[in-house]
Amino acid sequence: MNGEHGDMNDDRFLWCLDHWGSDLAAWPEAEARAARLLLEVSPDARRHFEAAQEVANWLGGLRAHTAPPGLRTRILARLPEPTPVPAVLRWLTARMWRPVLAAALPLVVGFVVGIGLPDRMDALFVEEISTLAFNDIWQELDDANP
Amino acid sequence: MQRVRDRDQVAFGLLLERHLPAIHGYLVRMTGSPADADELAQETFLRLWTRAASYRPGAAKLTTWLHRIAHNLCVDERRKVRPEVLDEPALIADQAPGPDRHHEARETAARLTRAIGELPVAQRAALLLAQVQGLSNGEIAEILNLSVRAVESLQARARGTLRERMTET
Repeated sequence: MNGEHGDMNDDRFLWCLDHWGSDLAAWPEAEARAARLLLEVSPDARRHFEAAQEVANWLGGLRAHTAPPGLRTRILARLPEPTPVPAVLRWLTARMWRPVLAAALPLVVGFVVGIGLPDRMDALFVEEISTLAFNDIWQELDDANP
Repeated sequence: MQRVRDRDQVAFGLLLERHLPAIHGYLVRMTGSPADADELAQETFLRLWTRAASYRPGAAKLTTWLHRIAHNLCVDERRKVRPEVLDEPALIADQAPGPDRHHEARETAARLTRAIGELPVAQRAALLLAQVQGLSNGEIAEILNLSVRAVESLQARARGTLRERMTET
């Protein structure tokens, strides 16, 4: 293999053939043109080109494959039983906003309840603090003046 | 796929119908054994079922993801045992030549089947994924965890080996 055609010789042709395949339309235009010229004069290039085409055709013919009958059924039969998940948990995990809502809901409820509590709570709280703070003083005064 | 993630067996059945032939074909050609291919195909789709939640549609096409699972299972299986005796009828049966060219076609198929079986696994996979499975080199690179250039190089070497085998007298 030693023919020369432009930049294309037999070695270059084999390199292109292995890299781009036997479909000359998939080659860069200039390389394909030079390859066509080489194929006209080089029996070796032609022999390799035909061999590459035969390989490509054979491989292309393998595309139409049919899976064995029953394989699909066997796969379906091997599917593990789904673990029962409580409906509430499924509802919660199905969409992103749902767990966020579930987490935020107690906060909202707590806030609303807090806002709604009567002021009487404040008065009771002040009275309790006063009792605790001044209890000792009253006790001492009582002891000093029996 | 969303329905499969929600554990919908009907959707899974449809998905099987669409992808099983291609995946099984790839596994037959990679292992050379229809029995091994059956087993690995089952395992591939069971993994799809159990790991459906980890599938990210934006990251890879489902075909690519499935081929990747199948290929990895194939490589793992090959590490356990090394069955390099290809079952020729399994591959040759896929070809349906006319009666006049029957003998010649069988001979070519047998020769190519042997040659493909002798290719290193990465070369075989790179070639089959492109020329039989019809995947792009970008997808093949993802499946084999290689660069596109490495995939092209593997394919060129594989094509060269097969071509030389065909020109041997």
